[in-house]
Amino acid sequence: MAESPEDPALDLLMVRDAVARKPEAVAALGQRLRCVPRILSALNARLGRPLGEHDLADTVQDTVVTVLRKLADYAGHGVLEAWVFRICSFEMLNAARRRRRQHLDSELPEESLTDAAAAREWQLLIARDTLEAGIRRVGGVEADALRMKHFDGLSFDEMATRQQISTPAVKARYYRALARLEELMRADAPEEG
Amino acid sequence: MQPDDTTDDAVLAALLAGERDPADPEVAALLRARPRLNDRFQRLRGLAQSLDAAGAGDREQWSAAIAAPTSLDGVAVAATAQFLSGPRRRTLTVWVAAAALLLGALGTFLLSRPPAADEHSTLGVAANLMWPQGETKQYGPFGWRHPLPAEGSFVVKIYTLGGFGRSAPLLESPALTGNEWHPTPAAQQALPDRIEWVVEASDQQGVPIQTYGPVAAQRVR
Repeated sequence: MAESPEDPALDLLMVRDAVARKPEAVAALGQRLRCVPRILSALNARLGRPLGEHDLADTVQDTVVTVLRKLADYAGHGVLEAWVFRICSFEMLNAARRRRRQHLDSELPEESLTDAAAAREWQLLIARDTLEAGIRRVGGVEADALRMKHFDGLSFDEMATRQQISTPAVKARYYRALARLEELMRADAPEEG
Repeated sequence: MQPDDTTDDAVLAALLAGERDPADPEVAALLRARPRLNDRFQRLRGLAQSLDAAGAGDREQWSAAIAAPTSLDGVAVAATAQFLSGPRRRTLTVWVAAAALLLGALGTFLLSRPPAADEHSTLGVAANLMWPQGETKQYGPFGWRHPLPAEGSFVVKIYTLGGFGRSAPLLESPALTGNEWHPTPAAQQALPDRIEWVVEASDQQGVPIQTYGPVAAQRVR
């Protein structure tokens, strides 16, 4: 049973077995999902700790449940932790935004973003989320092609094997996906000048 | 090269896939002569670089994060166990109660038969609805315990692991009315060592009405 990130195919097998509620796979998945609190804690630290202890614990609980509800979407293109990280980033951004809104509503002094590094991390996370939102809008096998190429670090030959099409076809698919993402992001970008 | 969209797309696709080099004299001359094409290439290349940076950033962050245990680790373990075990226990309770009632009525009948040699017996605690699942020495036969629709049929579809819903099946059965399918040994041998499969139930017109699975199996040689 896979206990550390190395083989996406083994991860997928474990996830499928866990969804089928096989006790060994459920136990192994629980161990692997310890990455959720670890990733969220690290993100919280990078962002200048916008979430306090209780908020962070709530976010961990909510994110684990979100991951478990989305398990059927995990396709094994990359290791489980890479897929979980994207969900954690999204959930952390939302939780931190909620926290900031509460501060603004209650006119309490801002606790987070007190230093330049945290502010920069916040901007990076927002930029990363914008890319992810664009990829979700591209959707389907094109979105898969973008994720496999850039986030899972696969070569075109590996992508072709995973998507069961020829290498030239996967290159064409990747190009279409990138062009579509660029078009969507350009349409959403504020006009210059 | 003619300045039309098809040619532009072909050039851009080749550049972005790394098949052609923008420093190649022919490509460089084309990009100089076609500012709009060059602008588009720069935008797409910039986006690809942003995606690369995002991917590298993700990897760096999650690989560093998972090495640092937290006091909340147990929350994830407990939530997973609760989420994936709770409903099953309730379902199991219902099944056990139902089985107890049925056993009383069927006791004489069951006792009059020799013990079942079928490892997938519905009375087994670890009974599966579909097999093979998980590690197995050989794949076949493919079996399931789902009900056949009235005058309907089943079709088994086998995919590479992760391929269900994303690619064509590697192997597909003819329409079946039984609950088991024996692919030929050659067909089984040709399957990869990691697969997932579904059984599709269709109505009498052959229209699929229910898909069971996917379940994953790994052949251990």
